[in-house]
Amino acid sequence: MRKLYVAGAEEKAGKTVVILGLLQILRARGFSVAYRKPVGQARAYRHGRPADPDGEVLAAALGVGAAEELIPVLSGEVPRAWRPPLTAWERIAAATRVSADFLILEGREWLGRGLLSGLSDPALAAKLAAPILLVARYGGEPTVDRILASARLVGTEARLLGVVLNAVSPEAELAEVQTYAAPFLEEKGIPVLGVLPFERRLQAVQIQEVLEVLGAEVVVEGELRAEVERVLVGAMGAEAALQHLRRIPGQLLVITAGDRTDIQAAALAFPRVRAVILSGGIRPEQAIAAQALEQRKTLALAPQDTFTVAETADQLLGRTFPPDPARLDLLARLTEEHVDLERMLELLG
Amino acid sequence: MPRNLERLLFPRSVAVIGATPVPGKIGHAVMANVAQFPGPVFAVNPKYKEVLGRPCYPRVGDLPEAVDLAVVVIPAEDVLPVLEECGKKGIQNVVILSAGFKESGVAGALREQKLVQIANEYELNVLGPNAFGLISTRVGLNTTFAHRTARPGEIAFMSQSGAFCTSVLDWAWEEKLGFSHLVSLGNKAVLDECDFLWAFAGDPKTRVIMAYLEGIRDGRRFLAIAREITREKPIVVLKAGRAEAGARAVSSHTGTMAGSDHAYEAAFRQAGVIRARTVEELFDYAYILARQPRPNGRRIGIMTNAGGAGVMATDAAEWEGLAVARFSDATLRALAEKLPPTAALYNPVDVLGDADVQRYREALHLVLADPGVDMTVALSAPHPILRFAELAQAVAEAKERFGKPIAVSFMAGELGEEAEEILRRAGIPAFFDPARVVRALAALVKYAEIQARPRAQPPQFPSQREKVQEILAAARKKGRVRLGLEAAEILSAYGVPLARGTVAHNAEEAGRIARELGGPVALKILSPDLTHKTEVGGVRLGVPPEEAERVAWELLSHFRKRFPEAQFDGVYVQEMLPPGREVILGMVRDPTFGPLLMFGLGGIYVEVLRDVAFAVAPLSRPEAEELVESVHAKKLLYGVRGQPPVDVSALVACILRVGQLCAENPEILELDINPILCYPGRVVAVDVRMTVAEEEPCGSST
Repeated sequence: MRKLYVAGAEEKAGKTVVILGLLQILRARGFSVAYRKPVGQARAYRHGRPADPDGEVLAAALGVGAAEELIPVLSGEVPRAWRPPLTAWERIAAATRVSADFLILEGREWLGRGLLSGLSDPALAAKLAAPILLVARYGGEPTVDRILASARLVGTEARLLGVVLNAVSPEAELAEVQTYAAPFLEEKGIPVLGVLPFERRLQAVQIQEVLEVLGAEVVVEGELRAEVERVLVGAMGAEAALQHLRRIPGQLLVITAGDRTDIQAAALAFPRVRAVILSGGIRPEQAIAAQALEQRKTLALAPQDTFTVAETADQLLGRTFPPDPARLDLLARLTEEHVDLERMLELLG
Repeated sequence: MPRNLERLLFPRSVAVIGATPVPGKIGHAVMANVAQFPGPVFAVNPKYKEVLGRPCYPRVGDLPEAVDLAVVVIPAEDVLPVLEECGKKGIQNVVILSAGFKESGVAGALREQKLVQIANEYELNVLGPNAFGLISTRVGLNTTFAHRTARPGEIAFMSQSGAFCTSVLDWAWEEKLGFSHLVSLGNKAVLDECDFLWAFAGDPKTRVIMAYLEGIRDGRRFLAIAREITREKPIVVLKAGRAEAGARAVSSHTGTMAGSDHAYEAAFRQAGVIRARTVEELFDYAYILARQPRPNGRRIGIMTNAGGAGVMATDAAEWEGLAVARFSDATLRALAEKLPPTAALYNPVDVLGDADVQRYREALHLVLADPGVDMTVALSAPHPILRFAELAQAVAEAKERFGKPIAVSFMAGELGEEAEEILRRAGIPAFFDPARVVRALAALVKYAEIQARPRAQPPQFPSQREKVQEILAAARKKGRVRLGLEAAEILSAYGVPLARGTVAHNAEEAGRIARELGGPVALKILSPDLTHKTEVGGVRLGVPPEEAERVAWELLSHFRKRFPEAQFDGVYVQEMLPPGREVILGMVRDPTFGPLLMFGLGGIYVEVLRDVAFAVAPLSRPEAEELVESVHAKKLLYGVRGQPPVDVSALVACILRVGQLCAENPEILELDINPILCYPGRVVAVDVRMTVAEEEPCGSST
């Protein structure tokens, strides 16, 4: 069984995206693939217990086992004890005892996380004898530095298989990556195994999800499964709001106070706005509700204040996303086109 | 196609659906008003055989004829089937007073959507719902529930607020002000302000169209229709929701965005619509426009028997942009002959406090006879030897005799019933405040100037629209909404002159391009994410060619570090133009009127002094010229302190081309050309940015 440990050079580097892509293209080649996340992050609370929603995403998306089995240890399990649970290593060992052609292991928030407790990615990868595939969200020279720093962190403790550069802007950054960054990294002995283009559709979240997390009340139901990619908090003048709406690309979610009817009206009339959430529990004017209906857009009421609503929506964006078939297909296609699987397999031996 | 509202405004027969004999119900009040209509009137209500002496039928289908007009006053939930019955019966005009539609929330909005479907299916002219009704005085029709009707008159009034209609009706009755039509637009589900503009324009007995509006449903259509109508008939509009809080109130009331007040201001000006700021102005302007002839010019003669009033009127004339007339020698000689030696002869003419009506009349005739006087204001303070009724009579006769506009300000507590009646009959506005009288006269001048405006179509410059569409489609495909370089190409495709320049992807390239351009260059960091490049140091001017490579390298490395999240496309290397006078041309797509151009002089004139002018594109040449003329700093373009004038006609052409570009490509949502450098022989656009729609456009090219 070949193992691969996918780690992030920084938070939100795009590990889940890379894993979902790799899983699919490996399976398409006829391999059986297992997935485990040795140490998860307790970001949610499910069935009376802390949970890592990433596990649920993977479990639901690809049928790789029940969420609890996938993530044996949660970092937030024992609050403020700077030690892993005594049974951590045993649980990890048990969970990773699987039979498949491939075992893909997902790392922690970022490579250095867990140095204190001894459960860092390099330590875990070493113990599990899995080479590390580093994922870095590309942003020019600082990213290259971060990759080099990561390589030092891995050092001789584990093996760094290579790096996948994620979210590379095809227009602005691709040429630079090809001309400078990739050759430089290769020269330093860090194989660049993939250059994934930035894809806004992967950042999206369904309106329904946002509403669920907020516990918002739907006043006018538009297309709840519609996806939004960006959030605009409407706290400026109406004309300034309209300017922002025009200038932020993608499908939008607008969050504003219940009494800002001018912004609500502007947002409902703007084609790319999919939903308007009113914060603070102030009920919308009848005319606004009628306008939402006419424009076939979702209008919802959240009890939280504007800042909390915006924070929540923002956290949902680009983190975990519902594993709908269209997005999985897109990921598989992107990985197929932009990740050099043959080379990766060759390096894995 | 304009709708034919002839039988809505002038029906031959009427049915009231929901009429009831029970006093205190709306269905009773409406029926009582409609019953005054001289033609056949029917009631529809399954509970009665007769209502107020008129035959009553159980259903619309049972009516003996397809009436010209049905008035619906039943609960909202019953309206849809009734409307359908009207359609089946062949009734084409329906006034729906019932509330419980869009204004009442989601359920009501759904109901209104169905109402529109039915109306479209049967091609019904539906006024309302949630309307106060309509009054047509010429045929004696009143479909409202008001306890008063309107007096006959020459002003057609429409209002987006039903309550304001009620107030106007009440007030106008006391003021003895008449209307040809009074229409409450309600929710504007089917018929809107544009339909009634057409209808009122076609009514020969309506001399002035007056409107209270909170929004306009179709701005482009309004602009086109109003432009046509105002050549023949004045339109006066009170558009509410100007200030930010006011705009918010409009959104609360209508659920739609108010649209920028600059856009309304510009569109009204271009369409020749006179805008009233207050209810007082609305009625003052409508009244004087309905009752007074058009002045030939803006020169005013001021007549008074009290010095103070004359001074106030003179000030007001200047504020309102009127010219205080200079009398001819003949007039002055005649005045000197007729008036006591201490009287003031020059404008204003002060006939003195002891003047009787005869002296006042003689002087007034002399002033009005002067060919240099286009209109007159007659002022008077109370005096024991002067009866206002007699003076009013003299003024009324003078108006008749000289055919020039005249208005009065008798500054007194009461003029007396007789004087008021004389002035009313002669159509002479009389207000206490001389400034108010002068302002009303100025509205006449404004309208005369609107009528005299040249008729001009926007010019069509040769352009490469296909190329623009290709660039826009490419941006759309990449999901880009902010354009920098492509924006320059787009301007080029419409013949807007641009400074020469090329993109450099790296520092070496920048050096090479600079050497090719020869002479000093401007280097600009290229990033769709940075809106104010200059403020963050992203622009270096006057860089010698041999320095270009180093400066470009500094720019790129500095910015990548400083804005790690931003996207950088390289450095734009542009020829360094000699200093010229800088202007700014911008565009934002207004939700109501479409492309709204903004023009101003660069630097502090726009940013600090807000010295800008607006116009809705596409523009005719006179409109583009007016746009340039409207900014206070325009004198700088014509040259001050020994500077030569810049090529204003080239600037106007540039504005026209940009206007055409924005009108023909609705995907362009915002445009900012800053600056355009103006020289004696040419103008050159230096920097341009655009925001474009990410989605496929669904509307037409306008």
